[in-house]
Amino acid sequence: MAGVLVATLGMAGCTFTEPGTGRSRSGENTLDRVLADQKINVGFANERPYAYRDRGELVGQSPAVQGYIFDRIGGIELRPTMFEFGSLIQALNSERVDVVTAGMFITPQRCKQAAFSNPVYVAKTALLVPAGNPKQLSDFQSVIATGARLAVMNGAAEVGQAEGAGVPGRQLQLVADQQAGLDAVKAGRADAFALTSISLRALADGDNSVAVAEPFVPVIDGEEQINAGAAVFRQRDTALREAFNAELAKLIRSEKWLELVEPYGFTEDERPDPDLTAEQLCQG
Amino acid sequence: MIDELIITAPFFLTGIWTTLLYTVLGAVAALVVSFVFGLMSLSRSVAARGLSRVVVEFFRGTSLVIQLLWIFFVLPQLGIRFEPIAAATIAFGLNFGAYGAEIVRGAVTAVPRAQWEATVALGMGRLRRMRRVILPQALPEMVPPFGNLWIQILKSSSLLYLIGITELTYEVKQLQFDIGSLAAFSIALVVYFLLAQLLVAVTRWVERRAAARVGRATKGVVVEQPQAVAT
Repeated sequence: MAGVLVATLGMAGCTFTEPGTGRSRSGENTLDRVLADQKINVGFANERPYAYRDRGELVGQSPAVQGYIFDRIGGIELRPTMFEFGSLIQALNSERVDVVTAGMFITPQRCKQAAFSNPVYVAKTALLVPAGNPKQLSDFQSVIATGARLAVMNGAAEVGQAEGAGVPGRQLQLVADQQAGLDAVKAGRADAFALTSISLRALADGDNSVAVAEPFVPVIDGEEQINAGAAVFRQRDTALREAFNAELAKLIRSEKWLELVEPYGFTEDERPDPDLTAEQLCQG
Repeated sequence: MIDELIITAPFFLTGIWTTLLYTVLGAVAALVVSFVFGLMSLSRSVAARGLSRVVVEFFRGTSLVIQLLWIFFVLPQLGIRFEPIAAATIAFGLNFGAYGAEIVRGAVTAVPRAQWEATVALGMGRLRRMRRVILPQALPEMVPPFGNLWIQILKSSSLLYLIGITELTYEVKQLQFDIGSLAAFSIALVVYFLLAQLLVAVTRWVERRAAARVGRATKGVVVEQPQAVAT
């Protein structure tokens, strides 16, 4: 009886995929499928204000923009699943989701594993520090100079940027998510937590024991690192990505963009240059 | 904070329900795997014993988190894709079943030698001996360690948020934003503790039943008294 149950479960929950890529055997086009279903599976990582769940609804800057664009493409609704930030690209490539809705930055390393839409927003980096900023931290250079312990989020772009800027590995502390980074600073396990100023402002909102230091642009080997967040697709889903980019190009140039993202603490400063493409940023 | 709790309560309850569902599914799968590999390890066939050893050592010797992530994220790239509910049940079944197989093997071996000899003297076949004499006596011994394992399954279900299953830990991580880490994680501790007590109660009940079936005296077994005959 129990055996039958397990066997049935296995059968019901099991489909075959193409070895090597993990794509469905049916060989369907993702754009055609989401147009037919009027639903697209999106992965998010509970990051305020990019994408998070509030009272059961997926909200944030990223769902606001993507929800608008997918609706324009063909009345497609977002169907969210939460993963760890570091698992999002795996979830995409194992076809658990069709697009990542997480304000993920375009980096050369990630471009090898997935395909980005053109930038949806640009952001500066900042440090979350205890109130009063006892170690006077402002950027990666000051972290190196003071030997402070810096919390970075596993899978986030700040990990590579901190390393690239020369922060020694022993000063870095990996945390699983934003909340863990905030808790690390509050509990004194880390002296600062590096993330985008947008995320940190939302995270520190209403908490008097922490503060967000002045935002900065990370520099690696003399080059300024532009943090541009975008939607992430599978590399083979070109049609879906192009449909997205076409709607995005119109949106970026319109007033509607600010209207969508303003409730989440975004300003004109975060509006990307319409000529900036994912290809340029993938070059590094 | 109270307002936030009331608003998020339905999600929280759904999380508790999902945690219980996976705790039961995982336990059923683990029980099946335990008996299959536990009894195989007692088989006369060298091949069956060998296979059982390899499976048991592999699945209890590798991390449950890695097994879960491997089944969920890596298998699709090798050609097999399980839905989250199937991936979770398989990982729990194999991992905890590996521990359970040792419980089954231990309990069966612990049945006194004289019982085995008696079945031979009575000319019973292997299957009948196992089913009618050995297993009924071994079962009460298995219940407490299986109860332990079940509580482990309950607590390990908190790993399932890693594969996007909206169980209790997933909901608590959402709640963290609204009511803070202190309150959210404290509530989770209490809820897991209460759920574990529920499993303990069920285990105790099964233990009494299993003992009573082989005539061992426990609370709740009524020994019939000879009735006085009316004259």
